[in-house]
Amino acid sequence: MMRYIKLVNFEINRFSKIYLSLLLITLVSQFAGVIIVTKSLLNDARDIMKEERLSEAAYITNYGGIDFNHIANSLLFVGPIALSAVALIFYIFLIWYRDWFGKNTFIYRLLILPTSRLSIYLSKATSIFLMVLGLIAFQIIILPMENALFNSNVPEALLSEMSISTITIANPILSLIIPSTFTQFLISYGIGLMIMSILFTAIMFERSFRIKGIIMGLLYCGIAAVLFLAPVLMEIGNFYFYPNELFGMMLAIGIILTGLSVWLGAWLLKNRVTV
Amino acid sequence: MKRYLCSIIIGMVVILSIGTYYVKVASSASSLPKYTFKTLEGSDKELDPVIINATLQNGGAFYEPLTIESNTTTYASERSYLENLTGRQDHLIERLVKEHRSFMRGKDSISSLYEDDDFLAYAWVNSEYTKSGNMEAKFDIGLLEKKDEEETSFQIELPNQERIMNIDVRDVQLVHSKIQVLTMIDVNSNNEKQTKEVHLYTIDVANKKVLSDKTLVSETFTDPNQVDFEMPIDVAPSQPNSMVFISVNKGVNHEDGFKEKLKESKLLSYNYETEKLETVKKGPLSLDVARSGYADGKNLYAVEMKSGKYRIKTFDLSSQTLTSDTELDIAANKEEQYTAAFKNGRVYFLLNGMNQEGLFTYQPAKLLIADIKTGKTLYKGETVINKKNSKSFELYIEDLEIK
Repeated sequence: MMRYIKLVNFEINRFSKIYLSLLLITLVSQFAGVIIVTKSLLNDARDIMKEERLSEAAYITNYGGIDFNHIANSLLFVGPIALSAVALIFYIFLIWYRDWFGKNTFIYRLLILPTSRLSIYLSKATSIFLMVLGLIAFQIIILPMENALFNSNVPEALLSEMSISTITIANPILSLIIPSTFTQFLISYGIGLMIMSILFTAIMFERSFRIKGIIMGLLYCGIAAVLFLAPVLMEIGNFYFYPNELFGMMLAIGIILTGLSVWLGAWLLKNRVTV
Repeated sequence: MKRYLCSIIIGMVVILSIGTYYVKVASSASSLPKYTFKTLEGSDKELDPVIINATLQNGGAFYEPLTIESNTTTYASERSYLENLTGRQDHLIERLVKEHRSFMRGKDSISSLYEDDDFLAYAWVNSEYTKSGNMEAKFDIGLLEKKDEEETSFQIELPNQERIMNIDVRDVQLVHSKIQVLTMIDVNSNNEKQTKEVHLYTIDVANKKVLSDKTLVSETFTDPNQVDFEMPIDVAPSQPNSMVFISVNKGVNHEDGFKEKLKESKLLSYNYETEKLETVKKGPLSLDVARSGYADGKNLYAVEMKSGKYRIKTFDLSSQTLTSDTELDIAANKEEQYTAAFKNGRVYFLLNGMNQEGLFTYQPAKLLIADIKTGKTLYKGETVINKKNSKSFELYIEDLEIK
């Protein structure tokens, strides 16, 4: 157990520089976005009021108030979220391959360690998952601050205030990363975990059998996708499931697939992966 | 310890921030205003079968669906994930799913269902468009014998489908053990003329055959003329009805909108038993009032606003006469929208409380329950909220259902 925690900590420390930069980019870009976009929104509104000779109240009835949605849809706001997502998806692969192709083929030492190889596998999975959640948590912390900054920058007459939960529901990207209910949160990130474990297993196939392994890995991903979506695919074939049956089946298949992937990945790492 | 600092910080932040966020989300749902009806007159037992589906809104920034059932408000966000997954369902479909789970699979259109004491029937048209733009359509037919749960299901080609562009099932009946399917059809055309038709298909379940395809109404027109078919709201869409109404609305599309030619429009009635199609006499009920009414196979109920009061008129279908005309004890206001339902010999009448311009003035919604025949008030009440600061919320009523 202690070894596992040590390994997790070790993996996180190795990524900490890039991770901190991601957090910093998000912070700077989003706050800059709030300030810049608010300014241009206010300028646009004033221009329209001047051109059409509208009072503030008339502007509101014709064009509606200025709300945080405008900010949340801007590139400066969404961009860093997309960047972080891409970086972490990329790191799912890098977290393994850097050990083989890094400066001093670290995997030698890692695999010689007197710990079970399962904990190597799990520590890598845990650290990525923890870092994803960390980014989400960071967004949850800075979002109210950004909203407060926005509310104080817009004159009250033009402002239509939004609560944090409404902002996350209204914006498609925010509603994807911060689901509106806790159950949905568990489901979304559960699916994320499943996909990560399947990708890890595909990587293990490649590391075990090289070229042949790439094909096996792709095949494994394909089979997993078909299995998970089987109930939905059956619906296209004109068989109808009740929503709760569909949910139950996909939940069961998802749990089985995740378990199978972790077991298979760890087994390959233990028995087939050679340095 | 110092070596673990980075991981510990991330772990703590994750748990605290995500945890607090979802605790707050959960607690904000329970702080939403609860609506209840305050009884002004009559007995609140009358409220038991009433289901009101609505949304609570506050400008554009807030939107929360809710249901007031038996005088208790429940928000969608208070329901479990699985309940919301199934979504809001007509209580009739909900009961049928409970009783005949296997038969009801994939059947969720209330006007495609027919139920009597012995049988449950279903008819639907499954249509697909091929790459060349033609429609390929099949009837999806199901019949369940309730006594021994014996199910017959089959698909059967839709007759003359090459001339059909679009088809919509509007009513299903079982008459002399044949399924009758009333449909509205847009006919394919390769010139400016448009044709809309009402077809009645008779399907023999035992032999899996379409026995007949009868055109009840056919209207051809060219732009800017326009013809539309409508049906008064069916109060009990799945129950045995011997009679249905089809209103034929004719008019012209002008630049400034649609202008109806009331003289050419008409209301037709069709009797499944006698197979007679008749025009409803325009005498006792004006066409406008009649076609926006509510039909239950025996009567047509119409709501009319006259000199500041709402009136309920009952039109007997077999004798084609007005059997009652009563006044409701509720003040009429042109700006307010009403929602009505007819069941159990009662009229349920809900006044929106909101005016149509959607101004931010809070007014309670009013509910009146009265005897259809005598107009006697059985219940009268209006909404109250349990919180003082929720006056900026608006309650949009979507529909009124009676169990």
